Amino acid sequence: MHCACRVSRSLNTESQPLITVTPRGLYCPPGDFYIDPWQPVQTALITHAHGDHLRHGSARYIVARPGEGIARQRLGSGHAVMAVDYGAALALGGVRVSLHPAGHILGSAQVRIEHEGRVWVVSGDYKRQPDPTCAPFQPLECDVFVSEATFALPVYRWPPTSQVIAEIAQWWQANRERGIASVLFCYALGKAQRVLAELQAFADEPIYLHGSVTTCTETYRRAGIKLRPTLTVTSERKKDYRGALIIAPPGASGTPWMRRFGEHSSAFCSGWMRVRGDRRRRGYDRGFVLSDHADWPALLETCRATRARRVLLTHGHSDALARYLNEQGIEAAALETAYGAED
Amino acid sequence: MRAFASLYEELDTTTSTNLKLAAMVRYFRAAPPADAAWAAYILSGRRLKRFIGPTTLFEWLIEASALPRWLIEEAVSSVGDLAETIALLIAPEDVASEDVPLATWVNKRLLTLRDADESRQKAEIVGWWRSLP
Repeated sequence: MHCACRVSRSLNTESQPLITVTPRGLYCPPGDFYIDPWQPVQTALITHAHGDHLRHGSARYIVARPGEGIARQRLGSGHAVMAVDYGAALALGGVRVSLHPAGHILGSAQVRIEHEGRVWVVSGDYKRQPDPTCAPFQPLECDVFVSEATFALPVYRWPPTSQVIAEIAQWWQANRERGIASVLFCYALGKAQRVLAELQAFADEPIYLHGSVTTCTETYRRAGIKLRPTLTVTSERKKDYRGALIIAPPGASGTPWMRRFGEHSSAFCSGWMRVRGDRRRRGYDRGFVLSDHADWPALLETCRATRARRVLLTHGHSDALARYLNEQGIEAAALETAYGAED
Repeated sequence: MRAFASLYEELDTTTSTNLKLAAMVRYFRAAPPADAAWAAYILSGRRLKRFIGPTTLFEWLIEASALPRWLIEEAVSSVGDLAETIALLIAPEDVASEDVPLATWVNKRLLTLRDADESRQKAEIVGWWRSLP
């Protein structure tokens, strides 16, 4: 933890940090706004619509335009949502703010803050692998880079997406030959749609979705994202799911909802599946290493690409990445935040 | 050893006892007797007497991965298993194309290392880390 102490001192001596951690979340004092606050605030800039980043109760939300539909759907009615184009400058308080693609899910954004000649960038969650459902991450030069560090250990290196998608297709095919259903657990927002888009190359029969996945999938379709045909798993009909592929959120695993599929093979799509113990503990048959976060090499490459003088880290293995970057000559420290580690 | 490796993978990627049984039947029907004997030995949980300890493997891993000791310690503690951490940290550079039978691996490669000096043990083992898929 020596690195964290060292940098927090230098944080304190800096005339005016553009981002500080407050009990309500990441706050920009000169702009008087929060980024992904975990408590209600006046103005919330949102990096993306996952539950640990987009929370109810704030007076005003600012999101990147491609993510507007998802943000409105997740917040429900009665919330003021303002959409801005990627790259468009906004004046908030005394600062110039813009949102830039983060490549995490549809509409995910990095927040670039410029004030009196200094630039800070908050990455939000991001990945560097191509994803047909969202705009690719764009490295931004800055003085201070606030990066996520969910998978910041060198054991996390992602295989090429095409290889993982081929493994999923083979697993589905093998289960079909055995006459059983394949249940693929994915986060309902983002990962599920990425898989649906990537699977377009394999056959064209419909894939079945859990209701919560359908809701997000329809929002993606309304935003113009091309996905495989889908059907929703319903309770009314006595349907035969043998040979079918079903996409469901991890929360559905082990619930009575699963009974309708009879004998089936289960799998989970996540960066956490890189480690065997994580897969075995969760009791899935298969784990597919498909993540919407940056892996270790991508985190290092991105921190260097921003040419930041200082890197501040949120989520997961922040301390390890901070210490490693310090040893590599890049000043870095971990920030205490309330974001989760879902993938 | 590829047939045994894929058997192991099949056993590891299903929670169904029937599928595990079917995979083992398939393997043992096809495997040459010497390989089948070693496969039964390994799958029943028996082990060769250890002649290279985890501390030594850890030191070799530091050298082979070119990562700091503290970071590898964090990785091992997060993964929970040294052998798996090695597999995750050392990406095979040049995957060996020859398929050496399981019995040859144990009898001719592993067991002959028992009396070798440490530099040869290290060269062989780190070489396998880099060439096994």
